[in-house]
Amino acid sequence: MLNLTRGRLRLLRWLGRERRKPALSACARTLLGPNASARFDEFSRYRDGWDFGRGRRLTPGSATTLERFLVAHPFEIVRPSLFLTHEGFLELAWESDGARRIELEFQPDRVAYYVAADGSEQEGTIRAECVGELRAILDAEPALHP
Amino acid sequence: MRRPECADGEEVVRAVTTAHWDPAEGRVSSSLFKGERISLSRLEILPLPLLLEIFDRELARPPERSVLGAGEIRVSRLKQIGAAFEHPVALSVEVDPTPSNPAHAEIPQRISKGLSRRIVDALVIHPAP
Repeated sequence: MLNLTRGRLRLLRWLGRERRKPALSACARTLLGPNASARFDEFSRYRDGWDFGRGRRLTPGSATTLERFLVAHPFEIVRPSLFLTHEGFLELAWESDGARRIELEFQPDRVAYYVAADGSEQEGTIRAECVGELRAILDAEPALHP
Repeated sequence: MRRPECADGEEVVRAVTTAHWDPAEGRVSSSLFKGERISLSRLEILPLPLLLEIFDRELARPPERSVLGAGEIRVSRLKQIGAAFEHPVALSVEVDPTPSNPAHAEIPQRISKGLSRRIVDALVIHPAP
């Protein structure tokens, strides 16, 4: 009985998360700029099955992680592009210091980062609650690959 | 059962939609090739204008999303990029015709973000008319 109740509670929590609509605050939208903000609105309308039936709709938790990143730790993000991955996660891409290419994929519980500059690159993930630590990672020189 | 592989000399294309291409900033996302069972189409079977029509029919849903074009690459170049990557991957393209797209093919291997970036950078982009 107790297990059944716990199971139901988990199901209700999961349904609540799934039904939540992805949203960004006005502050986050300002930091993104009009182009990326408009693309966010467009991706919010996608349904499961885009891209030959394989694409998943935008996960609300992805928008939450992006919001956390933008508001808690605003970089100077110059003219970023916002994309939607097949898994339903938002991806932010921009160039800094002229040639450095930065791409961040926002998952509900983590951020996958990719930094490339002049033949060197760095790739990894960081927990969503540690998103403030991204600055040190992104500011460091990417490791050189042979 | 293993499917036949496309020849090294074949040209294949990947549909590019608004989800992966930001025309305002001129960027293509590295997630275009990230993951596994990535869909491609063979130019040897159908010409590009016909493939763009198929992409538009199958991918331009909901109406807000549209097919912006196709990224072309030769199979041998794809394999070369996989082999030269710091964590080498033996990429292949398998023939996988579907009722709506007889030119359909797939890359069965898992592709990382870094490798996908290399592939995306090697694409020749054909914007849709």
